[in-house]
Amino acid sequence: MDSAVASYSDQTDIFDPRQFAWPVHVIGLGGIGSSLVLPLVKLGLRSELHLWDPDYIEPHNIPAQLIYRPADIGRLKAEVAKDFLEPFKDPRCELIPHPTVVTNDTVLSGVVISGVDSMKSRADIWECIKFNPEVPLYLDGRMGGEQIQLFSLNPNDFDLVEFYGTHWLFSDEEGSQLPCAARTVIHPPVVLAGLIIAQLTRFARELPLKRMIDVHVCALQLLTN
Amino acid sequence: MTNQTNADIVAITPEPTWVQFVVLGGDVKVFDYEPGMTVQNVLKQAEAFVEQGQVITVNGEPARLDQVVEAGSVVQLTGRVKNG
Repeated sequence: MDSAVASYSDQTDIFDPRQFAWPVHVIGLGGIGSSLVLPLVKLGLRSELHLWDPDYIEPHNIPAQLIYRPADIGRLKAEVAKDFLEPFKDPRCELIPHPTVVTNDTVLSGVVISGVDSMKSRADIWECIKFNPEVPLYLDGRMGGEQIQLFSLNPNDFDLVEFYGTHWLFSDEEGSQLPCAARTVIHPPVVLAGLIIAQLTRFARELPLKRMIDVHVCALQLLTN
Repeated sequence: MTNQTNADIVAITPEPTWVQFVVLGGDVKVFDYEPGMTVQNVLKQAEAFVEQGQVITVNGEPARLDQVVEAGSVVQLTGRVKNG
């Protein structure tokens, strides 16, 4: 047995990396994205993992953005994420950093996961993937304080496009405005990252997905529909 | 019947004769379903208000205040969170 190569035999009924070939795009490497990328890689992903974020790491990012260290302040999140993940990934997984924003004409294919910080960015991503046959799954994670939400949908399903595009793409001004000292903390994005992985593994097993999960991590309330 | 439970023991199990009202992160109340009852009626019974940055949903879909709810519905007051 080669001890330098990971074995996924303990998980293959839940997620079998050999059966999953879709590229994965993580757009936004803040609280959600930085919590998500390590478990994604540790699933045994063998495909392309695209890491999208134009931002540099700032001191206020360190507490609630999982993989960044104080020594990383001033570096690009996309580059730091790539460097961090490199030792954990399957040799067949290709990490592709994109230190830029996704605009409404960016070409995306595969599984698209959003963890961006504004509704304007979500609207641009939506333009790229809505009725895009190359995108079979869109996972949109959102959070504010101790609340997290996850939308899971096939952007080629008319009813889900209607549900998401009509009801849940509001303007930034209509969004929750939170007190500065209650905006973010480490555990909500970690919980959300676990839910995103759970949905991804359900997708891989062709199990139905809840279109919306709404959680308050302090009140321990979880609603799905 | 108005039944209030502690938020940390909530389990959403729709019942055909109930309408549940949930404030995410807050109260959970169960009301008897009445034919013709609207979202506004539920809010009034719950003594709740939709504040800036919040949305009222019925079974996950944002709803109008004059929308009639069906028995077994979950009416939820939730935040429009947007951060990442």
